[in-house]
Amino acid sequence: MYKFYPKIFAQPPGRAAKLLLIMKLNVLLIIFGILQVSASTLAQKITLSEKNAPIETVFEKIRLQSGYDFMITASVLKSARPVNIQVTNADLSAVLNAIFQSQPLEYQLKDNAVLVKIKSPTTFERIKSYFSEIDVTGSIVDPNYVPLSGVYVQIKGTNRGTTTNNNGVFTIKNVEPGSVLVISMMGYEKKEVLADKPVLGNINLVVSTSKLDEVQVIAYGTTTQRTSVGSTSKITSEELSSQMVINPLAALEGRVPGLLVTTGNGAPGAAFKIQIRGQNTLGSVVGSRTPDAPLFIIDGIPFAPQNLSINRLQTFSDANGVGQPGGGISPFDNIDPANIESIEVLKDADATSIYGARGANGVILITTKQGKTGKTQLSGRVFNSINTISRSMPLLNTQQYLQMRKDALSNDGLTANNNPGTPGFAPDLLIFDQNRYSNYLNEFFGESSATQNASVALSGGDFLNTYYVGLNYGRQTYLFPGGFSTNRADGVMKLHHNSLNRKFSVDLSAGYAYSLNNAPGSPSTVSSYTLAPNFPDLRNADGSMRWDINGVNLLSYISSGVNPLAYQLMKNRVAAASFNTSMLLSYEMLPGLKFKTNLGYNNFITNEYLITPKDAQNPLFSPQSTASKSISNAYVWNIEPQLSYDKQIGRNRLSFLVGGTLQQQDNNNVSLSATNFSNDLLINSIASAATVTVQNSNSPYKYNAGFARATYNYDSRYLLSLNGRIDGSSRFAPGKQWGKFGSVGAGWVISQEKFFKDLLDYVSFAKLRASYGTTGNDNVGNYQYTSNWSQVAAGYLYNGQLGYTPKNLANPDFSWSTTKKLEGGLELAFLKDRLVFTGSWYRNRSSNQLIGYQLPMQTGFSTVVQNFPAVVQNTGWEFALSGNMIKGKALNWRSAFNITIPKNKLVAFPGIESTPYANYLIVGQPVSILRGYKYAGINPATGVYQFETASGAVTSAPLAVNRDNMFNIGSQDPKLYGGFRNTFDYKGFQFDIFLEYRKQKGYNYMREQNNPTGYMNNVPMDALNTWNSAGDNAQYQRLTTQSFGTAVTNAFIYYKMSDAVLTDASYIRLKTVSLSYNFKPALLEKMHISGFRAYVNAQNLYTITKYKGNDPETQIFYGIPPLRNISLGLDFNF
Amino acid sequence: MMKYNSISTIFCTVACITAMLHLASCRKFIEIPAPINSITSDQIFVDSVNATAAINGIYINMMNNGFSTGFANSTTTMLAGLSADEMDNAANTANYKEFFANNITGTNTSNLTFWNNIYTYLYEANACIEGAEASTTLTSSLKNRIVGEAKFLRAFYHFYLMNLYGSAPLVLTTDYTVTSKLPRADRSAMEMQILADLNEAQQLLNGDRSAITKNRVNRFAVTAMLARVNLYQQQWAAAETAATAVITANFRLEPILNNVFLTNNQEQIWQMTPVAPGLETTEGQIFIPAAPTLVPAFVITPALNSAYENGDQRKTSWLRSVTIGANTYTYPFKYKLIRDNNTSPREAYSVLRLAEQYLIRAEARVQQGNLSGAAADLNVVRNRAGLANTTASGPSEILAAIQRERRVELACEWGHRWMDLKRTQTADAVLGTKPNWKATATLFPIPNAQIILNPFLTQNPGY
Repeated sequence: MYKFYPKIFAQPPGRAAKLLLIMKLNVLLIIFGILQVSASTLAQKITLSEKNAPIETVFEKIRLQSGYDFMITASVLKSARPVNIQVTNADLSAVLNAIFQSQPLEYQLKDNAVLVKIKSPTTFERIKSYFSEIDVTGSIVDPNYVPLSGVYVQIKGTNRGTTTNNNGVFTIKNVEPGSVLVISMMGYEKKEVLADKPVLGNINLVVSTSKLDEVQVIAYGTTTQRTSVGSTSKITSEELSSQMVINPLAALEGRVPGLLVTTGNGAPGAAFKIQIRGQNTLGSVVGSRTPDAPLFIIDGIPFAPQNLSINRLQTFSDANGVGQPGGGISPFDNIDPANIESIEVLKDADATSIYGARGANGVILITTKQGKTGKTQLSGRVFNSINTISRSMPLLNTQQYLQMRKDALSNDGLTANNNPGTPGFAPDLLIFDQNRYSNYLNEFFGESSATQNASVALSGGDFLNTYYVGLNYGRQTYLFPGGFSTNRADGVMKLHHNSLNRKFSVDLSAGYAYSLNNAPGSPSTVSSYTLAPNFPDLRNADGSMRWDINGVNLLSYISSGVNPLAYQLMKNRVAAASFNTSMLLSYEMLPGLKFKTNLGYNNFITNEYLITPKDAQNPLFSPQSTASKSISNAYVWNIEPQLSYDKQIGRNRLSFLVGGTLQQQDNNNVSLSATNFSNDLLINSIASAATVTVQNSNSPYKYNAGFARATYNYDSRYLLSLNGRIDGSSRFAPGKQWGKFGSVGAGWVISQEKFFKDLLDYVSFAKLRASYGTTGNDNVGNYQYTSNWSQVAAGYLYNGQLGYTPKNLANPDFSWSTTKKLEGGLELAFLKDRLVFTGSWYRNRSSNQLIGYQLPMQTGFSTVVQNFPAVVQNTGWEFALSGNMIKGKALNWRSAFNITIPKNKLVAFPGIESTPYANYLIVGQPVSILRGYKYAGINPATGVYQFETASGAVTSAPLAVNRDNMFNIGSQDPKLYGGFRNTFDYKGFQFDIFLEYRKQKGYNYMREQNNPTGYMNNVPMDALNTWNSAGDNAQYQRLTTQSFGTAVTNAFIYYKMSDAVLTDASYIRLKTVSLSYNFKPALLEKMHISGFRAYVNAQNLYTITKYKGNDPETQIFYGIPPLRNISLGLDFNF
Repeated sequence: MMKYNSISTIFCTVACITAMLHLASCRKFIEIPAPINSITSDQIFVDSVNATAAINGIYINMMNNGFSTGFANSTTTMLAGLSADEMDNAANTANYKEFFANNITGTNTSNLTFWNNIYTYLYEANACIEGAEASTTLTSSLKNRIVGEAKFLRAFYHFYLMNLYGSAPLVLTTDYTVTSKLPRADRSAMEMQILADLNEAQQLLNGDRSAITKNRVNRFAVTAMLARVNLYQQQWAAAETAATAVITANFRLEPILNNVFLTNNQEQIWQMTPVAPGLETTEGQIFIPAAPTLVPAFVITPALNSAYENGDQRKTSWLRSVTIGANTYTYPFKYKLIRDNNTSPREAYSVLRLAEQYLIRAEARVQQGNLSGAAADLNVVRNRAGLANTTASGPSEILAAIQRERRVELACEWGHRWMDLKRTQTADAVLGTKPNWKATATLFPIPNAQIILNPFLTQNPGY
């Protein structure tokens, strides 16, 4: 029995007592071993046959044969060398002499014990050992023989080591023969090499398959989950490419804990709402919400349009209104997911605080693909999809509809008449064909659309240069006829070059993308799908738009007076060109000391042309053709010089980074609106209009920062990270421009501790981490600190003279808002990292909110920009579990699950009572709290909705000036959300299934009904569950043909503002299902193809929900729900 | 280490760090140029062009915000006209119907935008007053003109706020820290401030002896407004004096009724020019149906239709009818043009005109016992409309005749009828015949949204 006194090194003091206890235990055990020995009968002759055996094994065998105990400390044991011995029936002393001859150890016999200690070397031995030690040199390379610099090479069991230079070469002097070198590098598997000769040649490192070693891109560098103390989630190109989507943002939905992605609507090119860890700021308008979008950075350069819709003129995608978050056309439609290597979502203070002012709402880093050393590869993907709407509500057919109308009329005590504008006007019952049936739902969005997409990429390179060239073309049509589609073509190019001595490197990237969205100019197209099902044909026999029905103008039937099909004649052609280029220069001045400069420029130009021809307008109003043109040019350039220093000293790895950011951006726009074209044929030429007015705007923004980061890593066990940043922004008044932000993060990899390894050997990795820090926000308009006047409106003169109007209330005092982020996390890996668990808890507190503070209009303006005293808190839990459930030769099953449980709360709002927010916000409740009436069922006698008042009474008209009768009716924020992915590989087949889920409340379809049920428009079948006579227990109130001014119609308005329409909108969506087949390499080789994959893929295949409405995610009744796409595709690789 | 050129490396490092520190601290890098499409307030009141543009902006805004959402340029006419017995909304728009039914909800958006717009203009007027008064570079004559016009406008806005809402916050500064918490002022404080502002405006504008520019607030517009305010405050002598000053000035009643609302008409004291390119007045656009087959959005009530005496040419000149099916709809037709492409507008929006001054003086004269003088003034207006002299005799009869005359002469113009009924305490008697009439309906509700935004505001009784 042998026990070793463990050597204590750098243990935290708190652990000492426990270790002492372990030591005591060891002594006891040794004594026990001695007692045991004395009791046994012992043979004195020893027989051994060992080759390269650990000394402790040899001792054990001798003990068993001789009964002698060995006493040795752990540190002494460490210097022992493997034993080679071949003896038969030898004396103990002879055996020991033979063993110790080749050991740096000596022994002493005492009673029945052998005491082992370090040999005190003789002078001769010292001289001899000096000459036997060798200088070892070698070169560390990756699997493609690309030299790896900065790799740490350590002599095992010592603190001696070195890092490789730029060429991957290391030299360690005076290595004792037989020493083992431990080679470790982020992202690669640890390797041990015997230092048995002076030149070791190339040593290949193998890329780690553990998720923990996957390289994560972070601010100004990279890291791995194993060594990071921040909260970063990564989506790989594999996961992106498992989904057949045009817009990369669509591929993020449900995939990242803490990231909430919501589809705006199902129109091609439509934008997405994106939010990391909840709403940090209050709405800029009482009751509204600002988007709080994260910062998007592509290859180190801020993306000029960020996630704002690119269109300024109205398009079909604006179902939520022009410029609303999640409305309009997404700028990310210009980016091909196939060219993306990874998307990293940075969440906590450690990960984001180096972005300072821009990191408050989290950061999303998009890294594009880079060439890899190796043979030239041509890879590509082609797919075609058929798209249909995923979910809609069936509407009444003609019979049901007419019956509803008749019932409604009789409820109102009216008889149908034919006089427009009078109560009882019912052309649908009197004039329209009683047997005609059009399914307008199908007419407006029942068709299918098609997507075509093709991407190819050429890449390759040698040790010093790599390149990547990618090309893409994609096209998606709209759901209805008219030739509407969105098209994209883009090309990217990336070059990497290293100087021969590898001290200097340059990365160049350039990408150009052009998209053209031929969109209908008005979202009102679909809002007309609720036309009466027997509404006469909207076209005349000759195919032209119909504007009157039996001599009565359409105005009498459709309140807007516009033929719904005419909206399709209003076309908005949105062309967007984005140009992205960057250059990263890097020079290693001293080993570990690098100077880098990142130079980038991003330009996004949108050119729109919206036409409203005469044909699209009711001729009654003697219309004129109009057209608008808008050209927006958004650009960002930034320069980021950085100086970094990395140093490994023993087991201590230190790195420092200091740098600066110079950024300038502008978003300027010129809009022209033209009326009165001489001829509709010339409507596409704005110069042909009689009247053209011009407007322009610009918003220059300059931003300047200095930043620094220090990280410390001891033995991959203790991790520390410090970040600091000083930011200056042009959005603040002089004196208020500078803000300081910083963070501290620490991690403890418990699994590196010996005691942990002994205790839980199935846990291969365990890390506790925490971070705290501040980030800021300067998300306000420019020039808000001065009082600005501008021309009232273009072309509006007063008797030929110019007129100015004030634009804002000046407030020179506002400055940075800050978000304090606190996070704790636990990361565990089991079974050799096959199963990886990440759990995080976060708390973000935003204060000094920078928003338009609401003012009564008696001040002249509705808002003034100022720092706000409110503190908004977002807390939450995020869990992710991923693993290789089955790793067999034939079957491979990978699984990934994530869940986010967010909670938003208004923590403090001093003086809220005397602010306009008192009626909207409640301290202690989420900022998204909705105030509404409390539904109290239907009055059984009158059949009218009733609501509870503050005093507890029940009424059908609960209006009170101070919103006294409005209650907290809940929030639309998700209670939890996440996704679950499973991938099965079996003999070349791959089956991938991804479920996205969300638990939330949302407005049901009743919220968007313009008129009470019974009015002259179609309704979903569900709406017919109405009260008919006293005592009915129905869901909806009595039918009425009126749209305003009666008790029933008023109650309908209150109903839409009540908790009755805020219902469960939770869902589980079968987001992605795909089945693919990888053709066997043997088969392909003959055809000189290295990879070929064919697949069928479905997006949004099915949704499980109780939601009453078209889609629980978009929650828009008059808009296209997310589409269901079924794609067929091929991936190839030459 | 020595194999690197350490001196140059160290130099490089120091240079880089210095450069970055320099970068990080350089304020120049965060200075942005002045906005291209706006001017800061300190540039406005420096020269005459910009300073004049500042006050022009108010006129443009008043003429631009009109179409169902404003204060000037049709909205006062519509909302007050609907509330009184002048017109009805045939388009059945809920917002307007509430005014017609005298059952305005606190959430009515027309009421809200009406209120909001007046206060927007009030801010602009105050900004002009403050900016011009503080300017050291403007000539004193320009300063006087700007401050005079702005003070008049401030009084004008407060006058309408007071008469339509009972009382309202009295806004005399642009400082939002002050104005955001203002409660409704006492009515007497408002009356005093209105008079003070008008008197001051008169002082400031009287110095300007140049020809009257009708499309701006001018010295006679101030006097005319003083006549009206004094009439409302029953300061008969002052009302008469002011009205006389206008009547004896260079204004004449326009003999041809169809021409009264043309630009630069001799009857007009202050009229505002339409600003939307190619368009005429908003009232023309709202009241005149876009097509002859369309039901007009606003129709005059049978009561108003029958208030015209036989032979009153105003009935044929200033009203028009359209027959659709079995129904005939009559709508206001003082403004006769909708669109006048490519030329400057031919009609202008009348705010103050001479006929009202005759009627003011007539009323003031009756109240002071000058019956013949009153009848003479009344007859000037009647004769122009093709009517014979009044047959009324005795103070009460003449007063009633003046009110009848005001009703038809000033019909569908700036809410005169509604405010006359209120100031003569006859609203209950006349409007009591409307189905939902309540005494409290004489005041519009303060918009709920504004009460929520300013907890110091109180609602009018009955809402």
